[in-house]
Amino acid sequence: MKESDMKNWDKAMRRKIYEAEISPASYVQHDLFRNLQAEYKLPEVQKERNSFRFFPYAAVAAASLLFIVYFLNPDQPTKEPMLEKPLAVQPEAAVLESPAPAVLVNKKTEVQLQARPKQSVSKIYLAEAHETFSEVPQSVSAPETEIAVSEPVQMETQESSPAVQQSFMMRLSDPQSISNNRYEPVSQSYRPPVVFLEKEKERLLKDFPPARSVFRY
Amino acid sequence: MGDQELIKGCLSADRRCQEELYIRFSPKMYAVCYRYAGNQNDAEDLLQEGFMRVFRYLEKYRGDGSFEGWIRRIFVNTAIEYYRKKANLYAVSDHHLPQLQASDISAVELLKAEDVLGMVARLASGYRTVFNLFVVEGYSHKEIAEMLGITEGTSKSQLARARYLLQEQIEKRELKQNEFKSA
Repeated sequence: MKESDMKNWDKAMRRKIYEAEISPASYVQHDLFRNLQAEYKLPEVQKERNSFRFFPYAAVAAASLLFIVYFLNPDQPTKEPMLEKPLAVQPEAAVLESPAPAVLVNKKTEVQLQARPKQSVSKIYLAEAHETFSEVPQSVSAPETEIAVSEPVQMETQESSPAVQQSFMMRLSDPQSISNNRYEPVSQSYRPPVVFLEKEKERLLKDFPPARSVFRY
Repeated sequence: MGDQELIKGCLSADRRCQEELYIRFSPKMYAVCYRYAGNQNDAEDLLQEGFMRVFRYLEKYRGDGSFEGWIRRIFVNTAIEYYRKKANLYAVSDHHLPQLQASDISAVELLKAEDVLGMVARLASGYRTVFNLFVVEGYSHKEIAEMLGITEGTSKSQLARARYLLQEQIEKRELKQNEFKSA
């Protein structure tokens, strides 16, 4: 075997190995890098990671607390639109092209609110809603109990363009498009940032010399 | 961020710089570790150990040579220490080994980079270590003998065997591909 052939064969092998080293993301599992970074044991970095690990639990706890305070508390006025919704919202009122939404108020309730200001608002609404629903069990909209306020309330709304609205409505009507936009698996979305210096890459890929001569070690 | 800035930040225990250094060099150093380890688990251990050494001895880097070269040497030394205990290095006879054919070089050219890495990984640890040190890193047989505590003859015979086994793998792969094409 000629010495030159041997050297050329070594060079060919070295070339392939350098190619793999320069673009390792192509063959190395991304999850491995993620795990390595998560298990990174430097004390300073570990502290930072611990705080990030704590973050989801804190967020869940805060969200739970908010839910309890705002949605499960019967005295909160935020509950009222939910009770009024079957009476107030008509199919026609939901059309986007209407100039301004009309606020529908239960006249009877309004009077009683003025007469009994000290009572809980939600309790009054609950009582009145119960009466209304018991009287009209099937029909959701009871015209005689509703009046429209003469001057429509001005609401600050930012109207989107018709094209955007149409796109939004199409996405709503297509559950597949919504499900496609959910979180991607980590292994697919994660790409480790690989930084290589171009001059070293050039040197490595020029004549494929041994690594020691390139990096001088 | 330049190397000097990165080193300065790491020395002052700036966690962002430490992470940046890790992110910048871990993919490449993982490839080096994998080449010596031959499997993912050991490569992962070597990578972890190597980075611990890099951060521990960073203040000793004088800036004489390439920073990547300095890091690379740490990883190579880590791998050698790790495998010196495991590798059973002994002299093997290379009289019966077939001669390298000229066509083998063109066969290597057709291989994918990851295939070559896989073939190197499948070698026994002794062959693999000597092959990496001689062919990829560029150490002489004398240096390899000193590093691994073996004779030069053993280093040469291990390398010859490693080359033979790699050529055998390449030939087998070539045959399979030809069969697939003809089928």
